[in-house]
Amino acid sequence: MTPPVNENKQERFRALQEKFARGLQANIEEMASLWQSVLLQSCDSSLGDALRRVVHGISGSAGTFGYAAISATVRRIEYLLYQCATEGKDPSVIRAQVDALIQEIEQLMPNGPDVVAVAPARIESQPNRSRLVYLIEDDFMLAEELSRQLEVFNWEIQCFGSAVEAIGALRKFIPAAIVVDIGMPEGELAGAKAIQQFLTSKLDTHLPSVFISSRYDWQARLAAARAGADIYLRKPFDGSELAAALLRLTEPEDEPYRILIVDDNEMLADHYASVLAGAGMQTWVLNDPVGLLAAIENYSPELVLMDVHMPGCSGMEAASVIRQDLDLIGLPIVYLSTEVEKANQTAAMRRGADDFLIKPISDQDLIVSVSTRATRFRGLASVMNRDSMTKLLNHSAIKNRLDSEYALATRSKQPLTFAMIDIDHFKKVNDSYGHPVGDRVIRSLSQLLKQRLRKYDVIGRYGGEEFAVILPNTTADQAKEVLNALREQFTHIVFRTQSDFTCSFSVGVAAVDDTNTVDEMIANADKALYASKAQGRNMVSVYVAAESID
Amino acid sequence: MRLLYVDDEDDIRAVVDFALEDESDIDLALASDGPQAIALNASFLPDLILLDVMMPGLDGPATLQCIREGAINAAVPIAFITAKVQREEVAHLRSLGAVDVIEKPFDPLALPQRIRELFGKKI
Repeated sequence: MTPPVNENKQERFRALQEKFARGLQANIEEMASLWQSVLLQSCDSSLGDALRRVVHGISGSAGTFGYAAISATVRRIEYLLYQCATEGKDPSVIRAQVDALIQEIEQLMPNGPDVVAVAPARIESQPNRSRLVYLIEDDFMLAEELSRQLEVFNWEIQCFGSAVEAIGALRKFIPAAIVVDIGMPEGELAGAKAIQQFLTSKLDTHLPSVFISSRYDWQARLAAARAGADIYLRKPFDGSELAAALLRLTEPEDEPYRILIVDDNEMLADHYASVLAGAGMQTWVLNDPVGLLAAIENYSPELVLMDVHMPGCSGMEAASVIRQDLDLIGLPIVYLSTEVEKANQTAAMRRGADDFLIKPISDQDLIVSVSTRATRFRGLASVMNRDSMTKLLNHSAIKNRLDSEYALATRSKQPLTFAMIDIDHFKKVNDSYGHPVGDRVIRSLSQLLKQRLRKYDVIGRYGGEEFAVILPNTTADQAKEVLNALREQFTHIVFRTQSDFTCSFSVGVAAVDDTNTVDEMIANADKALYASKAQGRNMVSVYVAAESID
Repeated sequence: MRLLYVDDEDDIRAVVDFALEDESDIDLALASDGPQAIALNASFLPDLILLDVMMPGLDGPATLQCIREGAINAAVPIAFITAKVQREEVAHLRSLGAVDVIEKPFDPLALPQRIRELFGKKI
């Protein structure tokens, strides 16, 4: 009996792979030894040519035999050598990089080939590497540039020169997102399509993808949408725009709505809670209106669902209590009642309720009335507290947060710092490049802060080009270190317009110690910021109280 | 369909042969350098040539030029195969009159489909 064709083929492909592997080992050794000789001469010599030929051969063939990672790494060497030769640089300039890459290859070699060609390995998604992005871009100059820029925004980038290499890597590990240049040599969109086809056949979930292209016509856009693009970016763009796109795609879903249910009938209350929870909302059940204010304060609900008839006090009375508090004037209150008399309903509404739902109510109706009102409330709260351009807290919201963080820090005797950040020479940016470009600078700084600071740090846009940051549990020295690193990173962001430019910012830091009021702390940060500006900008200064000398 | 595949690397020729052996509609010839490719173009009369760019001696572009200047089967569609790093170089290769530029490394299992697409594009 003859073995099935597939098995036979698999065997034979393995034999081809083994033969290739032996040659590959020899080629890698040859590459390493030629590189040592080139170091003594120049990249632009006959030895350099020989080296480039060997390197080119490996990068072109290794992936075909299942060594995608080696192909990709060798390609980086090829790029470095190419650059070194065309720019007439001395090979010692790229020595450290090439040595490291060769070492990487030598470590990859014993892993053997991926079982890509015949029997694809199982894909495992490891969500903990949530910052890894695969960049599929055949233009190595652009790939290098984008990687550098995205790394500033805390993304970890792995570059691939072709769809095949990327698919090889995707078989092993699924990143947080992919960025694909649609104009690959495989033909317009061919590479991108291959990747999406591979993903849909192997993955249950959708992998967020950004397509980049120099085309902006309808056909290209439509084709990209069909190939599964979530976001389409037109070249040229800033690294910060790409970072923003990635952030939008990978940001966790909105938090669930918080709904407070007040009903003395425990069974009914639990029923509503389970219906709303089934629709993805978070609920808190209160069977006695006495605990209402405490529940609102602790839970900060986005909607109160309340029975009209309760013992002790009616729903209408409870609503009046809520409305007495100016901070709660916008909180939606929805009644649930068996009251069918229109006049009584109107009377109830006058006391501050937003809607009147009649029991029994279908699950669907309950979900819709509650979620639409909660959505609107959340939207309004965001308009009131957030800056529309950056979505950071606005001036008054950040001051409110500083009030509460200040109170908490002094009570618990924990360190707290407040920093004011101001973009240097921002007016010049607006004057030279126009306001839209100025806005881009502001957005990219806001993104950098969001990406690089901790979850519990509070970031706000204080005004114009000024930002404020609250760092709980952080001493002035620690804050200085963190903000200095951010300052350094910000200067690496290249903004593309008619001519490329970079920006810097100055920072003033103030600690909670030795201050008696929030206003004093803000004033101290302001003084420190002024000192940074006066000393030449692009620096972080910490406020130090003047010592009395007597 | 008659296909001529030109590559100086033995391993690559072997895997191409392997990938295409079950494709009854593709008749394959292999060449390991430019001169052999030029000779086979005139005798095997391929419908399509896949041509490696970087080969010792006569490289891909030079081979293409020789074929175009030849007397027999001079207009045969030719696609380059390359691991070139720069997009400008890819554009340059296209400008020489190649129907396509295929990126190396390629997936051997996807090769038959790729070739059919290329062929379909030409006719």
